[in-house]
This record gives sequence, structure tokens and C-alpha cells, in this order.
Amino acid sequence: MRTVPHWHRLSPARCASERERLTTAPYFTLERVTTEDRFTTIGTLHFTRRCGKEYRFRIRLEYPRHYPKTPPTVFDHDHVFTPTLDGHLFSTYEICLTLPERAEFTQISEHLTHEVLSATLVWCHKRLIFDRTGKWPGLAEKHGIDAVMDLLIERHIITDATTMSNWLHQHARINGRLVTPDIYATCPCGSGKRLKFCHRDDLQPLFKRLTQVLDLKQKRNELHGRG
Amino acid sequence: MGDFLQGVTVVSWNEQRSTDRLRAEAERITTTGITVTQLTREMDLHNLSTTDARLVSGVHLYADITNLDELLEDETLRRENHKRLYRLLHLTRRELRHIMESAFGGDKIQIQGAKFHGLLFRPYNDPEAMAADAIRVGMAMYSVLTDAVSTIFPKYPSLVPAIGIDYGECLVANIGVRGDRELISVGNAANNAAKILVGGSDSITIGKAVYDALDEDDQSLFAVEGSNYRFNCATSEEDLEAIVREVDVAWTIQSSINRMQDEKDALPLDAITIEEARELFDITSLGKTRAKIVPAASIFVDIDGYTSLVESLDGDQDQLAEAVKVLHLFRYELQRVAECDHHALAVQHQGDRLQVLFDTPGDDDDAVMQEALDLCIAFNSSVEDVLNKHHAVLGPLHVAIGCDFGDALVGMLGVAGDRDPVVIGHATLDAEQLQLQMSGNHLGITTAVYDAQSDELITEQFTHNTSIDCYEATGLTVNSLEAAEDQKDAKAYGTAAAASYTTKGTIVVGTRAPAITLPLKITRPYCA
Repeated sequence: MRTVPHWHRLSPARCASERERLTTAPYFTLERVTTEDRFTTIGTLHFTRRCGKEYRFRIRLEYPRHYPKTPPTVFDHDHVFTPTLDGHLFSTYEICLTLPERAEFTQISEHLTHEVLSATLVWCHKRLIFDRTGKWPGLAEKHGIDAVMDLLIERHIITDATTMSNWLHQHARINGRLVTPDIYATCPCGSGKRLKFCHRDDLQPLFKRLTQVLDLKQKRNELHGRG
Repeated sequence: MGDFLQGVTVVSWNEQRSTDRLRAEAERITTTGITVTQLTREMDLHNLSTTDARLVSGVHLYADITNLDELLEDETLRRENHKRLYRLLHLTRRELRHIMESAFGGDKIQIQGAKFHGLLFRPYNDPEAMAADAIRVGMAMYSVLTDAVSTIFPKYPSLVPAIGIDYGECLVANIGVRGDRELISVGNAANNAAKILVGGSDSITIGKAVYDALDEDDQSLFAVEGSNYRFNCATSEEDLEAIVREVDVAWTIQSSINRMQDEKDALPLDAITIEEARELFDITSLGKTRAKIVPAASIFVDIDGYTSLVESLDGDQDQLAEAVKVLHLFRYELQRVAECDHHALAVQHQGDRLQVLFDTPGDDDDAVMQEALDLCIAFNSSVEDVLNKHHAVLGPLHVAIGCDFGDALVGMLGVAGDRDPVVIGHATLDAEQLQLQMSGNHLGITTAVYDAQSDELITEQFTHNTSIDCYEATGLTVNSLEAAEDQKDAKAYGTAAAASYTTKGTIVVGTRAPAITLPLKITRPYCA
């Protein structure tokens, strides 16, 4: 099977400009970049509280194959923070910056790295407050599939989570780890049209996310069974 | 990026740095050891090493010029950057020291601005003789500050002295800031002598212990004043010089006048240079012919309750050694916070109190006052979050802090090996008064200092104290400020659509990004 090469192998010029970009954010000190397998960078985010305390966090950015179509993934490199759901840190120490379906980052843009770095800086600031107050400051997505449900409601694609849940029970099948909807079923938006001709594309993220959740559940079960 | 930090203050205190250096210093003095011994007949306070402290039974005497405030405003004394006042302080300091040491065999402990602190501890174990000598030292000093000064400087306004005297046991140590011999004494007698002179203009005020030790003739000079006794020198018809000479002492007012006149002739005004400070200076480079005028923040930091602690130990020498160690650590840390962390000038340790001057030449006054307040917060942080957490072997101690801003005349008076820093100005007097009215873990600032603060995170910590017209904060530390900042930022994130990064490296969260800032991306984090 042919695989698409990583973006940095396709264009050394872009690779060089990305390195350059990583040195321009005043709140980030670049430590090193590795390009052996994938484009990965390690550096330190730093900021000072108004009370005078200085904070430094080493992070690792792992750039995906399709960058800048997809933003880099960020990790708490030194495992400073404790992974928790409410603290928005995966057990792999991946920082949960955003729900990808919300598309908060500007795709295919030269600003993408700075957007991710600055969002990570804000995340670190919020996480400090969370660790002391026990409450995440500002807006955060709900956990799991509920976040996607909320997004679809916000975008007026579905009316409420219960209707969507019932629809999924009736019209979606699980093939292995894949959630497949009946595309000829009536669209859950209530238009009376078939899904194929109505919100199929809009609901794709939900099905994809459900697949991921099922995958995660299965992995957890396997782990539990082994334990 | 331009300067987009309007309204944001950054305090530079580091808990880890303080913790590390205090741990190292505590280990060092534990290794060296501190010995506390009772002063005996054959000992004196000269050449007292930095690891020795003495318990001294003696009479403490404070002589103050109470109208310094008015002298600072006097047209004649103000001319040429207060040259005349500076020379006057030099002459009086020298003469008061002569009376205490050469005439009466006592010791100068310290000169604190216009205030002279001396100790009489001879004849050993003879409180009656010491008390009789002490009131005569007071009378001689009063005569010098009034009659001698008026004779030599007839055009100058009269000085209004106040003298306080008390007897008791004090801990005397030699752990000064600078290389010059710098004694400090801690104990109720020293504290009380300084306190009872307040309100006693033109008088000598003595504590009960001194009064009880006087003979009937001497007692008859004094009238009851609360729990103390007061002799008003200005209204009395007694011949002070004659009373002084009742004890066998080689002092006359004329001898003082002659010495002061000689010193005046040896120090003409032309020989004195007092310039405005345009860059950071080393106070030890100043002297009787060279001083500076500097717009600066004056800060007093006092260890509240330390004197009571020493008294409560009731002479237990092991416990007292621990108390001296604690005092040393407090002084060590406060001085380092001032000089190393903030590049301020630790002017003088005055017993369990530190006088500090903070100035950054070239900065505007508001910036100096903002940084001075950071320094005050840093002092309290070191005490509350490091010293009290890790070194409170005799229980927690707190500091009372007072701060004001204004022109200060800075110099060093005395001769090589025995010099005292002197800082005088309205702000210094006000800061001292504020500190005296604060209790432990309280910080008092004047309205000028409060108004100069642009960060509401800081100003919100203060309340207006109407009774003494100042702004007061309780328990203000970097950590408490961070907790307040957490609350504020959490609230701001709840409503904010913008966050930005500033040139000072802080993150500002607001409903709208301030102009010329580096915007930051706020995302809604997720977790499955």
C-alpha cells in the first residue's frame, strides 16, 4: 500500500520555514526539532503571573502527516500535570486543546503553529488555575460524545441529544469498530428528507467520533481484562 | 511589540530562591554556633564577634530631634540641598557620642536618622549609679542640642529634643549590614526608651525602673507622666550643667561648644557636596562631605513580637541563642530580598527592624512606588511563606511594614570604622510612623503610594484606614496575591473573548484585548 509521505519530506523549504516560525513566538523557547520519522519539536512555554511567579512548561509538538491540514498534537513532555478528564489531559499526556470538529484552528495557514502554541500557553495558564481551584476556568467541551452532540445542536443540525440518541439506536449499526448509519433513513434534523440527501456530511464527525469512543471503550476493556 | 503593559505589575520574589538561601544560611550558622553570655565586669561591647551576643543589664538612652519635620522645611536649612542640616546632624552626632562614650563611659549603640541610641552599663551591676549617670547624660545632651546649637548657629531654628531613658536587660549583638561596627540591642528597655520619648518634647522621660533607682534629690526633678516620669528641661529653672557636674564628670557646656565650633570650622559648607542621585550609588562611598538627595521610597520592616519573645525566654541562654539565630535569619533574608532581589538599599538594621530605601534613577515616580510595593510584598512573603514555614523554631513571627515616597537626604556620618548611615526626609518619618502603627503581617502605605499603583489586582488588596489615613493590607504575600489572581483570571476567562501576552511575559485576560498586544488563542478544551 502506498502511503503519502510526511509533509516535511515533500517540501524542505516548508520544513525550514516551520523551524523558523517556531523561534518567533516570544513565549516559546525552541529546544530541538527532530525530523527522522515525523516532524517533532520540543520546547518550553513560559509566562509570568502578575504576582511575580514564573512558570515554565516543556511541551512536545508532534506534527501529523497532513500538516497543515491537521494541527500538531501537543504533549506535556515532562509529565508535570496529572492526566484527568476535567483537567483536559489524556493519559498519554496529550493536551486536549480543542474538539477537532469545532475547527477552532485555522487550517492550511502559516499561522497554525502560532495558534497551537498560543492555545497551549492559555491551556497551561488555565490548568494552573484548575489545579488550585478545582474548576476549569472558562468554556470547555463536555466529555466524550456529548461534546459533538452539543456542537451539532449549536449548529442547528439536530434539535436535542435524546432525539439523536434514539435515532442512532434505530438507524445505526456497528460493524466491528465502525459506526455506520442507514443513509436512507429519515434525517434526524426533522426535515423529512433521507439522511443521504440532507445532513449526511454534517453528521459524519459524530459517526467518526462514535467510532473513536467505541474504540477507546474496547481498548479500556481489553486493558481491564488483562489487569 | 510596544509597551503594552499598562496597568500590569510583576513582582519579583521567588519562593525557591528564598528557601534555598535560608536553608544554606541556617546550616552555616548552626555549624558556626551562636553563643549568648551575660556581660561581666571585665567584658565590654567592643570587638564583639558576629557569633557572640551579650545579655547586658544597663540603661538605654534615646535622644531625638522631634522637630526634624520643621527643620526639613526651614528656608535656611533647605538651601543648597540641606547642606546646613546635614552638617548640623554631623556635629550633633559627634558631640552626643562624645558625651556618651568619653564623658560617661557608655557606648553608642546606633544613630538612626536624627535619633541617638546609647547604652550605659557601668558601673557593673550598680543600677543606682547608672540611673544617676543616665539622667545626667540626658541633661548634657539636651543642653548640647539646644544651648550649644543656638550659640554656634544663632540663625538656625531651635532644635526641640526629646530624651527617653529606661533600665533593663537587653540582648546586644554585632550583626550589622556593613563592615563598620554596628551594634544592635533587643529588649524591652531599649524599646521602651524609644517609645516613652514620644510626646516628651523638651523633656527627659524615664521609665519606672530608672526612677526607682534614683536618689530623692534626682527623683524630685521628675513628675509622673502616665506610667513614666518626666522632667521638662525647658520650663525648669534648674541649672542643668550644675546637676550634670554633681557626678564626677569632665563635661561643661562650654567644652561642647568649643568642640562643635572646632568641628564646624574644620567642615566648611563649601567642603560638602550634596547632589541629586542620577544613578544607583553605594552608600558607603558617602561621608560627612558627600551626600545625595534622592526621590525614593522609604520602607521600614519591623519584626513584630520579637522583643516579647526575647523577654519571655527569661534569660535562658540556650533559648536566647536560638532567638539570636532566628533574628539573624530574619535580618539575613530581609536584607537579601532588599539588596539582591530588588537592588534596594538596606540602610540600617535597627534592632529587630530594617530600614530600606528603594530608588531606580531614571524611572518615573509611579514606577518606583510600584516596585517599592513589590518589595514590601516580597518581605512579607519571605517571612510568612519561608521563614515561618521552615525556621520558626520559637514559633511564628510576623513583620509590620510601612512605606512612603519622597525626597530623602542620604549620607554616612562618622569616621572610618564607626560610621552610621543617615536617611532623612518627610517620607522616612512618615514610613516609620506607619510601620509603628501596623501590627504583624500588616502592610501600611500612604495615599501617594496607593495612588501610584496601576494594577487593580494590587489595589484591591488594600483597605483605607481612616483613623491614620493610610491604606492597609493584611497577609499580603506573593502566594496570597496569586490566589487572588487565580480568582480574577478564572472570572475573566468565564466572560472573556480575548487573552494576550505582554512584554513582561504575563497573560492578560479581558473582554477585549488591550491595544498593541500579542493576541493568544483561546480554545475550548475537550477530553474523551
